[in-house]
Amino acid sequence: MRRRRERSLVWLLAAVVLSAALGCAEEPAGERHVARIPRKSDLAWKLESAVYPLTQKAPWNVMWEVTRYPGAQPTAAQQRRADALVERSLASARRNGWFEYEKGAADGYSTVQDHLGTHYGNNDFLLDDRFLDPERPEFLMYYDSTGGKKLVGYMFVVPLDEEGPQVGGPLTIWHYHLWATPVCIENGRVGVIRAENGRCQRGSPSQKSLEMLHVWFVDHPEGRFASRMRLPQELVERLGEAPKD
Amino acid sequence: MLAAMWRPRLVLLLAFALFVPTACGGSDVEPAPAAPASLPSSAGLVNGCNREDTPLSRDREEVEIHFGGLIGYAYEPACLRVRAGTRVRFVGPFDAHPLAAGRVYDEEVVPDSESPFESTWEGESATFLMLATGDLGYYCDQHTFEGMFGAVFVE
Repeated sequence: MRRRRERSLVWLLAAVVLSAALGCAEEPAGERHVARIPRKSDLAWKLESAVYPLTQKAPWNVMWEVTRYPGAQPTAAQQRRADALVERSLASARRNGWFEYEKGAADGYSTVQDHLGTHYGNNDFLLDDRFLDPERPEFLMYYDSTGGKKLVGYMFVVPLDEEGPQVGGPLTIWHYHLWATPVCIENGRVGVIRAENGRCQRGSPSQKSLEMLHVWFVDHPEGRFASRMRLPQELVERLGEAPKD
Repeated sequence: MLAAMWRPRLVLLLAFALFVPTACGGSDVEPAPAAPASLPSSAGLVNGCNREDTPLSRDREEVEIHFGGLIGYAYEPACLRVRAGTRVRFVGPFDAHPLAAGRVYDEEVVPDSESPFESTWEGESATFLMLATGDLGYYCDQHTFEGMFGAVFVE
């Protein structure tokens, strides 16, 4: 009887070990790490709990990258998934004609809800329940150039307080914004406007944004999933000259 | 006998089970501080601008600083030197790039409530009169740490 109990316990533990190991391969457990942008090195990662409570007064907006893979190198499988995300995103942009700004606008992308200038959101895709779907990117990113608005990539988001899935492991590092004063976010998805005295006529006040992931179609010096929006000036100038896709 | 054989394996498995989540979740040890990088503001530098290296503007009445749009996440010119009495006009989309006054350091921003540059969150242009001499830093409140800042030296 005792022997059977011990053997059951061994199998139970073996199952726990196996599931933990498999989970590790996909999305490691435990607290995530964050680093303020610009991240100077992998040493900059700190536990997410060290960032809160939010104390920043200035500047109003600070971006933080977030990861479950601080300092890790991607596995071959993670690299494949990251490459696939870029390729599928690029293919869908071509297929949908979104390299033409007018087509993106006609398909419902506009700057209205975030005032960020380069991010054009689609309310339908923001409110659907499909995430990291290259056929339904929540945002297109267009840069102004001498040749008009040029598509430079997608931005995917997940609902407020949900974690962005790192499908490409350490290659796909998501980021979020922490604001010194709250922004009104409607339905946990759509940023409306800065709150006045902490109150919102629409939506709920939040000092943390949705989590977001860029997928760049141009050669961003910090990689295909770089968080920083600033592109080298010579690259922006080339956008005006280059063919649209 | 069998129980004695299983017991060491049990201990090993237990140890492994406890170890795996910790190893995957990353270390709880606070990482060492990052190596210092070039500072936006430091001795002789205000938001990346050096008074000595900034040519005095020939225009005595009004000087423009453009930002956003074709210029992207930057100010052009970022560094400016003018005489007292000059008007400085910022031209660009303030809703995407709100203006704030202050100095940007590597890890923090120190707002300047005495600056003639007023926080501006909307509109396409804003003009400020440089009455007194001084070193006046400014920055985009949205994209500060993306390097969107500059300074005006008034003499």
